[in-house]
Amino acid sequence: MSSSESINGPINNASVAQKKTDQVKIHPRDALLALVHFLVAFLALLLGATAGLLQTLVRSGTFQLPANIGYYQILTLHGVLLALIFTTFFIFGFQIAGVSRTCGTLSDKQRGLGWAGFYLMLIGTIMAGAMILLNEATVLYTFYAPLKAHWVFYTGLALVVVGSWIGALGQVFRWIQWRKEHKGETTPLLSFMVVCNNMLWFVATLGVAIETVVFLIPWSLGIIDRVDVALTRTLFWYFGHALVYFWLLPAYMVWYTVVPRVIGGRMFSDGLARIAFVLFILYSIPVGVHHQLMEPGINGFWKFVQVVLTFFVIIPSFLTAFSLFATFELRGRELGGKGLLGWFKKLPWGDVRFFAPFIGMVSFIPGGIGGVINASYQMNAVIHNTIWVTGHFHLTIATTVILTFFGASYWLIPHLTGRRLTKQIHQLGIMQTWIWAIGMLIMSGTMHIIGLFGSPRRSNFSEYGGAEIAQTWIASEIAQAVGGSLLFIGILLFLIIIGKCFTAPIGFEEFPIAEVAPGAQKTPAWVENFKIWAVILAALILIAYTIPIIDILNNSPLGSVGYRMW
Amino acid sequence: MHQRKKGGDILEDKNQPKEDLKGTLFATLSLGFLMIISWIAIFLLYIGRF
Amino acid sequence: MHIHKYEKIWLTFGIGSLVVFLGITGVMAFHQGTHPNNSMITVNYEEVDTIAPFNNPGVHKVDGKDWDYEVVVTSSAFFYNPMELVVPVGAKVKFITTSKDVVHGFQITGTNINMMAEPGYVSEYVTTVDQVGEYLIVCNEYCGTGHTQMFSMLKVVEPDEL
Repeated sequence: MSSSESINGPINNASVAQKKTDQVKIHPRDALLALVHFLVAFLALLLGATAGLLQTLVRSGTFQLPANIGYYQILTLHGVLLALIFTTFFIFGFQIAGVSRTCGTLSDKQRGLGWAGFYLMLIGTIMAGAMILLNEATVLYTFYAPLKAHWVFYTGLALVVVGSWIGALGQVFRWIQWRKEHKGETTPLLSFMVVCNNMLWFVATLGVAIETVVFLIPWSLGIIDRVDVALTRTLFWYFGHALVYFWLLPAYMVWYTVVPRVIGGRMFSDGLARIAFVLFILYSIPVGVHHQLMEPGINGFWKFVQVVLTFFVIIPSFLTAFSLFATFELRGRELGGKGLLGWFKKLPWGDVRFFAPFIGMVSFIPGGIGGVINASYQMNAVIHNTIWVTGHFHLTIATTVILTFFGASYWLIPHLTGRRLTKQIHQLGIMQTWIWAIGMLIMSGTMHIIGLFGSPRRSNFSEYGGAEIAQTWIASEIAQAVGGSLLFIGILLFLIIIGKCFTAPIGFEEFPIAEVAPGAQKTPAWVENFKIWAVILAALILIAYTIPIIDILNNSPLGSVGYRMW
Repeated sequence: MHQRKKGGDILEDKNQPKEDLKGTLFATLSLGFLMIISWIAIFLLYIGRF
Repeated sequence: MHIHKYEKIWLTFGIGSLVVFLGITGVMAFHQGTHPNNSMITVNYEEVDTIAPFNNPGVHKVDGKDWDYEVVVTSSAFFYNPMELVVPVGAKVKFITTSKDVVHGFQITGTNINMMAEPGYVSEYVTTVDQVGEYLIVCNEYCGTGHTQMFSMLKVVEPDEL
């Protein structure tokens, strides 16, 4: 019985024991496609992390960049390489592997789409990256108009987006093929989740695609003179919030489908996991304005509508928290854990495949809570554009998601390369996780606190004319540098471990996929009906965005010419 | 279709003794409590400023 | 679909908390009027210096309005005009700003006055300045190489120190 069969439909053999290891191995051609994505991702990680180290040292006041490198230039590099390139490439590598693992090997056409997408994304990355390195695009990863970068920068990013659409299609087509070949059966959960994430990504990237293709590229080419600043910002953030869920959902995929197997347990509820992902499709996108709460030009009522919709997106995370604790508790009790919390101690703390994602989960507690605060309409004024926000997203993407990705890499790279996850990799991985956690506690913790004192984000070192409050900020920046330096050490250690994964002993490493509990209810078919979800999503987007966009278009003042302020 | 009770059957048997997930309830409610406390803290900060 | 009783308890508690948060912020925003910068006023950003109120930046006492003072600031790379603002404690003040070039931030640190200054759009915030003190005003949105040289000061003083 292949592992994919255990996830769809009711299991008739009630006493089926979970196999000791699941021998399914991804086809080498799919493995190669996944691996090239990871290689680009890890390279982007190294460069982006180096930029981060330099930033934190500069901000501490103890280090100056060489004359021809700008602070905001490396900040742009940091944001683009980590938030856009590392993430997208890693996620696609993981999703390709996940679809291949649970639906079966990709067809040549599907894999071809994956390769076409990969090359387009790579070309786009090189274009955008080159412009940043040439100091032609020091506009940060949000590239707000009317700061105007070189047209090759925007075109490069557009190619990354278009490439991702093509690659995503290959993944989705494999899921559709599985569905056709298994009519009436519930599809493999991991592949279903990949389709959800790709749908979310496609609808969200339409916003930034329109922003770049219709406005910023013609503008930077000189074909049009002016752009509407409010419109371009709104299109960006329509994309920008969903972007963070595009990052988070693959981490949730690991938590839902892999971690239960790693700990020797079962999936708590297939149906609720799918419903959580559907809720993410619906409520990740019509909420972008919560990044614009302090802006003019958007009516307060509609800002609040999007705040309400934002609060809806918290619910699938509530569902996930319950599912995870339940998975842990049921397994822990199976292993003899007693009392209210005794099961907790029974979890496999020496297994990095569990430990790294687990620390990621812990980090999402302050990360998610901070997010609720950020979204709370007028309360956003306390923290908007302060370094608290930077602290927030270093907890979420840069700890929750990245530690989960790291934890997955430790078994996935060996699986894809035909090697074994050794005891040394477990130990080093656990050490890496601790270094990361401590470094992030210091850096992000400090950022949260000093942000409440007004310390701005996206800012070079400055004494602000000797103002007293700035002295407090500078002291905190020294602590941030300590934390940030630890994180950089963590990155180096991670890459060393990945090197060890590539040179580990030949053998078989399982791609762990959890089974549902025997006798569990079959997931209702309507959950997988993407047509319904597409219609509801379209309706929500129209509700959330029609009036704000019409207001912006009607109200439109003289558009802005471009500025090169660096 | 009842089976011998064991962890993992939670979806099937509604008469399952509730302590099987008591830790989960405790953990999630604790998170909720943390969320409320944190939100109140920033709320107080907000209304304390002009 | 069957949902465990404990999950129902958790969701009720969690979602209930979210509803309370929305209720509090909603009532405060729409009933009490404490809301962020929601100005819908636009302006020609290239001619800002000749258009009221930006043709006369600074602190101005006003009559016949819901507020006592208007503080008008133009934001541009890399300074605020004017660079020092003095208002008496207890006054109800309307802060007004716009950008003459790129997007800037206008945050009066230690207060809830935190708004984006965008070219073509006027940003406004009304509040009662009820605490004496010196508050550093910073640009908190990247606007170019001089971004961290862009700051000014709000002084809230006793009326006799104006």
